[in-house]
Amino acid sequence: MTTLSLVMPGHYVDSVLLMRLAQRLEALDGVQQAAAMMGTDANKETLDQGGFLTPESARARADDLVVSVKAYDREIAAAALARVDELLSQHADGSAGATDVRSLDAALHVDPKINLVLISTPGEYAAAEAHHALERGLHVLIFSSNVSMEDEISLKRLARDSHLLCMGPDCGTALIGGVGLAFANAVRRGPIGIVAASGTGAQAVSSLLDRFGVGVSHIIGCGSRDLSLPVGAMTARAGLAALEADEHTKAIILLSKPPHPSVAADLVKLAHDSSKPVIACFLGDDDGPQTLPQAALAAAAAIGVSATISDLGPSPVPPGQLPAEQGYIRGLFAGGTLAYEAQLVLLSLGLEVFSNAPVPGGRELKDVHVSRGHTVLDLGTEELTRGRPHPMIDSRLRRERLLQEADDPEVGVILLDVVLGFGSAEDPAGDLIPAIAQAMERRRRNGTPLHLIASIVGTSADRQNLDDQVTKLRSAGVTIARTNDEAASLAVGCLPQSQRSRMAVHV
Amino acid sequence: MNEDATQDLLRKGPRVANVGISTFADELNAQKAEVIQVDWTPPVELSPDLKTLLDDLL
Repeated sequence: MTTLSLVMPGHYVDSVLLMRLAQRLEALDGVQQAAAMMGTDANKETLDQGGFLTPESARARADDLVVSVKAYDREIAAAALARVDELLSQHADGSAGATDVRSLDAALHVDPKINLVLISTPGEYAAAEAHHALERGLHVLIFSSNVSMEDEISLKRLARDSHLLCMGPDCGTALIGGVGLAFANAVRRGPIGIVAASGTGAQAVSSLLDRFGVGVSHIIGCGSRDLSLPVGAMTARAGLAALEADEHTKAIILLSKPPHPSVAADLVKLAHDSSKPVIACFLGDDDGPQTLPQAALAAAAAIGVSATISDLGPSPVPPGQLPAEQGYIRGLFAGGTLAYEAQLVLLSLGLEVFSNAPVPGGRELKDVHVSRGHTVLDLGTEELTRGRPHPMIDSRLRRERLLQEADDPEVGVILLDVVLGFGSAEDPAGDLIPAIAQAMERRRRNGTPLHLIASIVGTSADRQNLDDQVTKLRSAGVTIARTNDEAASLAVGCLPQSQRSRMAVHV
Repeated sequence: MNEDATQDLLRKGPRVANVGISTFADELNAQKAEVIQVDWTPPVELSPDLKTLLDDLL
């Protein structure tokens, strides 16, 4: 095995194209593994951990592109690296076309009617880009995370004073006038407006509404920290006011993890004073809907549509009871809010749950790379996405972790979410299936059962097609729940008797 | 910018400058939304020596 590296000085490539470059290199004959990253110190550490760092790549600078290839011999590795330019230019064919420009000002010169800037640069540069856009009177959606709280507050004040929307930082989802921005689903248009500080939460609720036959007017994303005390829900307030004034919106869902209590009190008052029904869903809060489907059902009811979970299809057949020695659930989630909701379900059923993103009452997982007891992982956290795209795009981390969990003999259930829509991978279910098949095969050889239970966020209009994704996963032996909370309940339902009696004591 | 800027956005829909991940622009194109891809690159980082030299010169 030989590892060779190529360093392209001052050549910036975004994280999704880097992932595709690595995938294309790995598809070449004789290449075993490939890595493509910008040469930041953090990325060089990741390269080192993966055995990709060479003396040349160790000297790379933050703005240099580093490509490393492991191959069976030196000639194959060198030949693969010689094709990097060609493989990168293949990417360019699929990008936005002939009007590509190098700066926002140049973009405004080409199209002076631009009204929104979608920013997904590395976090440390995002605030400057957003400030520049707001100063030019443009709304912004900051997808980037890793923006300081001070910058967030200053950007949101500027937006508020200029009567502009500042969605984010760390805003994964928006849908404006039927157009999905970043991660969003192809949902029918209709009367429900959503203000969300929770991207996958908004995707789940809008997709469920679509499946209940109810459409969405707009989704205004706020970013994960908007409802904190320092930020004071500046974007959520602007979003609520915008939907209040919007003639197409007849009812509003406000969706978030529990806000700071004083922020929550303000928002509840705003909701109460609204001329339209407002369903405030603060997941895990005792008031209001307790789960994402409950929020969708409440919104449907608010416009006079009577829907139930059974509209999504028949109840899934529960997987069989697990033997005593296989009592643990491991949740591997791409969606942060879905990981949050799953933890709430497990806790409410009396389990002790560890997580890298614990809910109140949950336990913090000390080492994110090693699960303990019942563990629910949010694979989209900053710590785990360093130098690679979000797990909704890049399934590699989840595939690796799935095999790791399956190798733990105490694990009986693996819980998964699959998120479809704009921005997501071309075939999220298909990406997971080789790892699922391998995990099941290993367990079959050991004679120990493994249940995989998944729920899917998406619609039949999504490019990946909900029904196709369900069929693929079912064929691979995965139990498909209709909703994420149902998946978590099913997982608890098949735990061995010993675990369940402990739960009874706990409850 | 007047107070109707947000209503204007909701009514007309987004016309987007996409600064960063180019697949987001591809997705907007696929939805037939107006989008211009800004091929963003990190600002050049000057070495401390060069920065001092430039500060002295300018």
